[in-house]
Amino acid sequence: MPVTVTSRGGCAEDGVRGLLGALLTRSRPADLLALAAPPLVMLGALALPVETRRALAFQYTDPTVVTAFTAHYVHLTVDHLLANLIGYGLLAGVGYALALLGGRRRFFLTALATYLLAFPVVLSALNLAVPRHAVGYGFSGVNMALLGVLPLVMLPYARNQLSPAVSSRVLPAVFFLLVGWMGVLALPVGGDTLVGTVATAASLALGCWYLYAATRGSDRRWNPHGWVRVVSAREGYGDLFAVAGALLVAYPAVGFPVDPVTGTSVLNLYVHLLGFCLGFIGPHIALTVGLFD
Amino acid sequence: MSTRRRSAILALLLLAAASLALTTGATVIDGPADTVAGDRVAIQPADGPNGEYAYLDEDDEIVVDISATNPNLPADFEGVNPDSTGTIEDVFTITYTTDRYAHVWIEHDGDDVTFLVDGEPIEGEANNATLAQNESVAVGLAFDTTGNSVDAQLGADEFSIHAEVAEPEAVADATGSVASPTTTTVRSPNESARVFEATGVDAGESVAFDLDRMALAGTNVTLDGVTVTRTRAGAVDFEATGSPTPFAEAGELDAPAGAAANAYLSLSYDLDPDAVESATFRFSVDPEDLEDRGIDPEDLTLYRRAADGWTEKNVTVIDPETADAEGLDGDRVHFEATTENLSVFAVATHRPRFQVRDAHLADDVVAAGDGTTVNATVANTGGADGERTMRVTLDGEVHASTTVRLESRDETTVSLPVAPEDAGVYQVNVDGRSAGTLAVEAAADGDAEDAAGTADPAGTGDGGGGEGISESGGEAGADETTDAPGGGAPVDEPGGFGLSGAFGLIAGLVVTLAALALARRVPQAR
Repeated sequence: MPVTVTSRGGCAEDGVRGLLGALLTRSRPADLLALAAPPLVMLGALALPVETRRALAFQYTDPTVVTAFTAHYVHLTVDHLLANLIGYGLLAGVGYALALLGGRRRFFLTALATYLLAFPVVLSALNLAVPRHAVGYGFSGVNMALLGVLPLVMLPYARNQLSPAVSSRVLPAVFFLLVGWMGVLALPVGGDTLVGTVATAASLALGCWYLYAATRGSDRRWNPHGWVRVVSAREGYGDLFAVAGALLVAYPAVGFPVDPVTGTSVLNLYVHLLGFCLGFIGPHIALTVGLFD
Repeated sequence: MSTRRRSAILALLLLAAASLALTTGATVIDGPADTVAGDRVAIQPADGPNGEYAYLDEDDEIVVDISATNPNLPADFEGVNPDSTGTIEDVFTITYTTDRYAHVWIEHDGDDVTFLVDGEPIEGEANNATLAQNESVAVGLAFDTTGNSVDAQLGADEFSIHAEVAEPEAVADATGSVASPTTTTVRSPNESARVFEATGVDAGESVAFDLDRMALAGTNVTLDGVTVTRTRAGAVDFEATGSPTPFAEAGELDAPAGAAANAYLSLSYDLDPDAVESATFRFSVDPEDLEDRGIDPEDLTLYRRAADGWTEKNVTVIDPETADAEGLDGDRVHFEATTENLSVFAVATHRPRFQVRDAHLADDVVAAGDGTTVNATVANTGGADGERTMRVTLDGEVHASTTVRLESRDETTVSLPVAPEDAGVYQVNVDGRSAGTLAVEAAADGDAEDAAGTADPAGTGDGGGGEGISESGGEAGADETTDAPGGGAPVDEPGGFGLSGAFGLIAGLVVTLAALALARRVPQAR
């Protein structure tokens, strides 16, 4: 190639230290306070008597707007709370870092505020679509919404920090492939799951088609080798991107177990799927119509 | 010393910013281009081999990408060596397509890359290149990754391409001519449009234009004058259009304080917005029209359409004595506003906007003949003082009313009596907002809660997880019942996963990072 290069030898790496420095420089105390607020609220809620926490959970046979909201911030066991706090810390932390370095801070914080304030009521209300004698609680629906917004902040991060060649047309592919992945994980083996199987297959097929459409053509060709090299070359920044990618794949693996029944409780997979889908679709529409340009 | 070859990612995302060109000009661009200033400045990858380093992204914005992810480059291209310097000529071109001259330059803050034309920097206005009509200039770059890490990258939004029409004097200045004095012209294509220009304006100089009552909404609202101050020497060239209805590009006024638009003003201009320090608009309105509509002149205001919505500008109403001293028409109300940014404006009037923020009944159940009260918090969130008649309705029928007068952004609490004569359940609203339902007992042995439809909350289902049906009432007074499964202890449905899942997740991420670290330690195949 017609590039004139004169090597001067030696190199200084910023790597992880550079990444942390950039995050420290760009983050704002108010953002960190906002990010820390949900865990503090949930920890405070854990201090309430268990009867009070049960009263704040969402009873599908006796729904109220108040419990529709509070249910997502109460947990009945310490293990359940810790697991959701770990999930929140990973998703919100990685998402915020990606948004900061991808120039999407305002978008991410707006999405987070929506998830924290509006999604609990929305998710509870949508749970009523499947009437059952049950009581729902826990923060995982909001966590899944944060998983949904992750691809939307990974894209500008990749453009800003890794390569400007990445196209936003891959986003629908990521969404459908992840929905299909969740279906594969959650569908019981050998059960009567025709509808679920068809939906999962359709989602995977749509994801593949979108991926093909987004990467076909010589000007947008997919170069995995180049991407691996770029991610591995950018120590720190590439690591953050890789962690986000691993979260996208691994989080559904733990959030959609094949057997959702544990003792006398049943994991609410429905709210997990709803949270992820709404967490992706709403912000994606907001971006598509240019609300955050 | 390590002998491994390391690659630097040198990626520039060039976003064209404010630009300027004049009037019409034939487009001579072949193929797609990143265009600004109404397609009059075009940026394209250069035709030569180094043009492969530049391409247009999906938003048709020029990208200079010297990394392995550039789809135009061979798969084995690894980028630029760290701690190196070099030049790449003729990467992209800038073409000016109109019938005037333009100064073109690039702004960016970084030290790693310098943009070049013919080997000379083109960064900063002082180093501009002058383009004639349909003339192109090829831009290259010099990079210096000395001291940078292998992941050095120049990101988006750090670069902008500027172009500004060059005054004939300025072009001549290069050969020793002297600039001419300021001249202004105003043309009136029709009663609601003006084209006004000035040339030879010095830096910091203000130029006033008399627009002779350009109609914004007939003669009721007119734009009478504009004063423009430039930050640097150059020309002023505006086209103003007035309309009583919104312009498509800005949409209808949607002000937080609920102001009502009276007219709209659209400005198109051919200059770099950074070249304008401020613009002061002087409007006038027909006082009789204001009086007919009950508008206080002090409630006149101006909104500017910004990227994130409408923002209000400070407006000064010119008192009659000052207007008389300045020779303004004494039969009209004059006001003016100054703005640093230009776009579409809306001449508007503040108006009161009442909201019932909270309404509730003092009692939910009363005996027939007894009364209770409904309390409501009423706020005026609008920008003007005003009054409003608040009505209490029972099942949609007006039962009582009172008039509330509030200053702008003030609130008060009102209490109104509610005393229905007949037994029953009533939906009580205050100005459309629900205050709840009121159950009125018919007699001493009546049961308001029964009348309200409240039922056994425990249900009578089989407790088996969803087949039983119970009638579960809502708030007192709700007259509908809800079918719902129930019975027995409800099934716990926690959202989330256990600690083992969380630790598994963390382990997966650690494995990912470890794999990445390992990959970095494996020598790359050559």
